[in-house]
Amino acid sequence: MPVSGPSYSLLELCENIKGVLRSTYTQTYWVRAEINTLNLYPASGHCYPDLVEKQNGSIVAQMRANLWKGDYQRINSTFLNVLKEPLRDGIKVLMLVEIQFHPVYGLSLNIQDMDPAFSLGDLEQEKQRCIQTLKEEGLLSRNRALPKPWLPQRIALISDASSKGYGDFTKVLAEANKQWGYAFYFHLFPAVLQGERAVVTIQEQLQKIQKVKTHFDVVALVRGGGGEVGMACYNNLELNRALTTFSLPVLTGIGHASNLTVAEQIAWHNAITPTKLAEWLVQQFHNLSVPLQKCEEALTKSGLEVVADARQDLQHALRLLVATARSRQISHRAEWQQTVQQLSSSSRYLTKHHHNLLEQNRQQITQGMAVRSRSETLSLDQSFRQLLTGFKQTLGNQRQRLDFLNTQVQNLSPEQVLKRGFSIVTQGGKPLNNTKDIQLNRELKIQLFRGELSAQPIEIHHSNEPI
Amino acid sequence: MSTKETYKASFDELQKIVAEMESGEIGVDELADKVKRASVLIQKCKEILSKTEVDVQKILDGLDES
Repeated sequence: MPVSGPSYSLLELCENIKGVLRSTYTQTYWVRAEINTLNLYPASGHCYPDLVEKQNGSIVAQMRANLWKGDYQRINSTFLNVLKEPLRDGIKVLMLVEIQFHPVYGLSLNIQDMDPAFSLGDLEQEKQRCIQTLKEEGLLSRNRALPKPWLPQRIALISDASSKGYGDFTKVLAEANKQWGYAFYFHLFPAVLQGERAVVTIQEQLQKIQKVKTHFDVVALVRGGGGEVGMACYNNLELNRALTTFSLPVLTGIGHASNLTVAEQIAWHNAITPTKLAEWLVQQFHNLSVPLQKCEEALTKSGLEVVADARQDLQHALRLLVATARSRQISHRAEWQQTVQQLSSSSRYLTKHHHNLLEQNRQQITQGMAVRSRSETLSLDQSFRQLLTGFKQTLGNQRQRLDFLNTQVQNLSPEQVLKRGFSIVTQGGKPLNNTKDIQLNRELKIQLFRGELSAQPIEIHHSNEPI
Repeated sequence: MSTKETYKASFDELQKIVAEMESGEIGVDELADKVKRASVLIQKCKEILSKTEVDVQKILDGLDES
């Protein structure tokens, strides 16, 4: 093809383009882009970020940029302050750019400033996207749905041995062992715990733990100290997917003051600091140990109570026994004393009474004796005298009568009769006073006062008339 | 029997003894036996809390396989 018209050197063209661009893009512009790679050169301190725009994961625009040392330091400092994130790969930014064309380096954007608020919103959006995605995949509560570890004793510890968080965490566990004898075992799986590298190293350690998971009860992700920069890694979808689908409960203690990261939200248990996480683990031991101790105390208490009750019953019975015995004794004694008193008083009374009676009797007797003996003496004398008098009289009378009788007797004696002329007739020795008793012709004897004669009855004249 | 089951069984039995004692069902005669049994159970449970049976070598062997 023949040349028609003028030709330009490359430089001339570049200069022309440069001129056109400069005249067209006369000011600075706010442009939204994602920092695909920051490309920081530590030696110079300059950054040459690769800016992209993606749609559905594909790059639809791409441009190089320059971030000079001074601007980088200022902007990075603002980001650290506002986002708690440094300028890094993958971050979306709203930046103030100047379009520049260089004959050697071509088209690029000179970044003069960045709005951290935009990036912050974007980070938050990224976090929300992560949560949304996990939710859609049904993974958000996957780890939390794992059964409660009965005793989280064996811990797969993802941490950094040089970090403060690791020190805090292990110190609490060691203290618990010392104080309560709780036995923890932990094995360290070292990882970077913030920034871009964290996402990769933590996932690597999770894969290692997976191989030996039967030896562990839980996974603990422990971070602390070293500032709160680079926490966005915990909102990373890939990392969170790995965490939530892990077959052991994942515990987090990643110590920061900002909003909860996704990792903390999906964790089986989250504590705000490594120390708190360790304390939570200790608490799980307490939860088993305290009821045990309570049982022990209750046992001791109940045991003592049983013994104390028995002792009390015994003492009660004993007291009752003593009291009863004593009251019996007292009542017996009282009864006895009463009886004795009664006995004593009644015997005294009786004694006295009898004594009195006796005395009375004695007096009566003495008196009576005296009276009687006097009166009896008198009456005896009298009687005697009377008797004597009577006797004399009787005797006199009798004598008179005797004299009289004697006289009569004298007068009636056969001799006297015979003297007076009467005679006694007998027949056969038998005195006769009736003629009928006389037998005729039989001798009769006739006694006279002086002498006797015999006669013979010749005739008898019976007299009918009584004599 | 796993550690958990051992612990649970021991603890359950322990609580039963405690309940019995607290309700006054245990007399002085049984007391010594029950307390002896309870202290064995307590000891057993305490040991579970104070001992970890971890074979570190097995963990390391497991990590090396890859």
